[in-house]
Amino acid sequence: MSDWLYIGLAYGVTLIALLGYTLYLRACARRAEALWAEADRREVGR
Amino acid sequence: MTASTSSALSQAPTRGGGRVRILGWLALLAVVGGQGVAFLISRPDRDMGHLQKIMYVHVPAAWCAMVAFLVVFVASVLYLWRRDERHDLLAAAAVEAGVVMTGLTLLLGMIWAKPTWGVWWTWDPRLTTTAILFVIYAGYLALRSFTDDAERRARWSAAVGILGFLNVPIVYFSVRWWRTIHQVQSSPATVDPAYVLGLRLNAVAFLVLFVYFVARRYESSKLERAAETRIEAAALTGGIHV
Amino acid sequence: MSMRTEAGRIAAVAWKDLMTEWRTKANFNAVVFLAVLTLLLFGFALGPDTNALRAAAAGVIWLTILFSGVLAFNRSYQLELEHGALEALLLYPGSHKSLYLGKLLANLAFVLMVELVTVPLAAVLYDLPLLGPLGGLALVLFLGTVGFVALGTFYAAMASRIRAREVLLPLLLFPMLVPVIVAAVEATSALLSGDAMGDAGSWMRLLFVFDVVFVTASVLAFEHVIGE
Repeated sequence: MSDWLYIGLAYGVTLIALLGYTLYLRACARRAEALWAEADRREVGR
Repeated sequence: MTASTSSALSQAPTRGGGRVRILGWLALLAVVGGQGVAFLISRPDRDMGHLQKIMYVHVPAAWCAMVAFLVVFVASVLYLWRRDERHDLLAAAAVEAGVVMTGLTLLLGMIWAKPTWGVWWTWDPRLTTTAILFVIYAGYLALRSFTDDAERRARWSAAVGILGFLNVPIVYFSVRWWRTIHQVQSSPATVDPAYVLGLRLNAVAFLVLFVYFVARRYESSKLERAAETRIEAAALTGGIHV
Repeated sequence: MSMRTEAGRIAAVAWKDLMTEWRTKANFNAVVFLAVLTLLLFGFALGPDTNALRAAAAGVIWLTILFSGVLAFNRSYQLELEHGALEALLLYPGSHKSLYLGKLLANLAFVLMVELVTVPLAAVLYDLPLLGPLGGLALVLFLGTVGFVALGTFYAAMASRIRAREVLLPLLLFPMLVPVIVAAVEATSALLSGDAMGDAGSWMRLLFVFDVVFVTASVLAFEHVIGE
């Protein structure tokens, strides 16, 4: 089994992990902004 | 819930979004640059051959994992001392990034081990301790997800984070002694001085990435908590007007 | 705060917990049956060859203690939770430590009694020389159990009060127990194979250090997790 297969696997795993977490962070930020907007709505509605 | 800490969050959290975004691009640049440099200038190792290149991610990720859990420890102690909710949110953000880095360390360690030693896992003390660290902090996140009250969640997370951190050196030495008793020798991956520059470069790059991860998560968490606090307050005082 | 009232309170908590348990014995019986079953299953899993069983015996015994003992911890808080007695118990200053130590003693007694039944059974099933190293074995079992119970009592203070407690307690507790398990199994294994007391002694000294560290850490951290 060629070494390059494992090196490729390593880079692939790294890419998926770091990219995946970055996307998760974006989702968290979106969720927080949505909640903040909701808070605005609830307060103004008073 | 004490008024002082909740009011710290219910004002509009400082929108550091711009700075964090710049940090993100910087991190991307640093990591890609660091990996590129390492890939191009590193000669194949005498023993490992090109597999050496995996070390340029595995080792920086391991270092970041350790930094992460140090941050968790300090933030947890600070929370129990000052009861400022922001320390709790910082600790949680560091645990998340730490879990990512720890998982990456483990996977890359295994991917490196298979062609080198023929097996995916060898109960090496450092890797074994890393695996246990992974579970300890996964447990931290599981505890948080099952605890709904914010103040209780912060207190409990801090206690778990502190004890978990204190256990890490204990686990490491236990596993090391355990393996020596059974006379299992493993050749530690010694670092040829020629590779030190590449490692240092990537260590810094990954640290920048780690700081970006934590900063982004921390900002989102602060915003989310502030919003929750406002919604609760509105529900208590204003009744339901939607 | 005099030492005598402190000790008195600890004893009172421990006594209450044990008496409550003793009245029904239902929990004790269930845990013992689970331990017995675990020993049998390990036997089937590791094959009928007695040599293989004897080699694995130390690990099997400790895992059995772990898997069955962990059931006791959540339950030790259940009584206070059901009757809302927790707040009342915490009213006195310094009461957190007494509460923790009292529960630790009660859980310790409970698990030790389970071991009293299961370890001889393991000796029978796996053909172990129990009588020779009996003193040493008793000491290892005691030291290992103290570490196990110290951390178990601590984490159960949290796990018992949220959902998915059956999963969360092992998830939080077991990784913290790795040093205790390694030391306890090594010492037990050394004693069972008639090794020179040298090896077992070092592991037992280490186990004692672990116990001091974990009990101290748990006592200090307990007040942060038991309050409302």
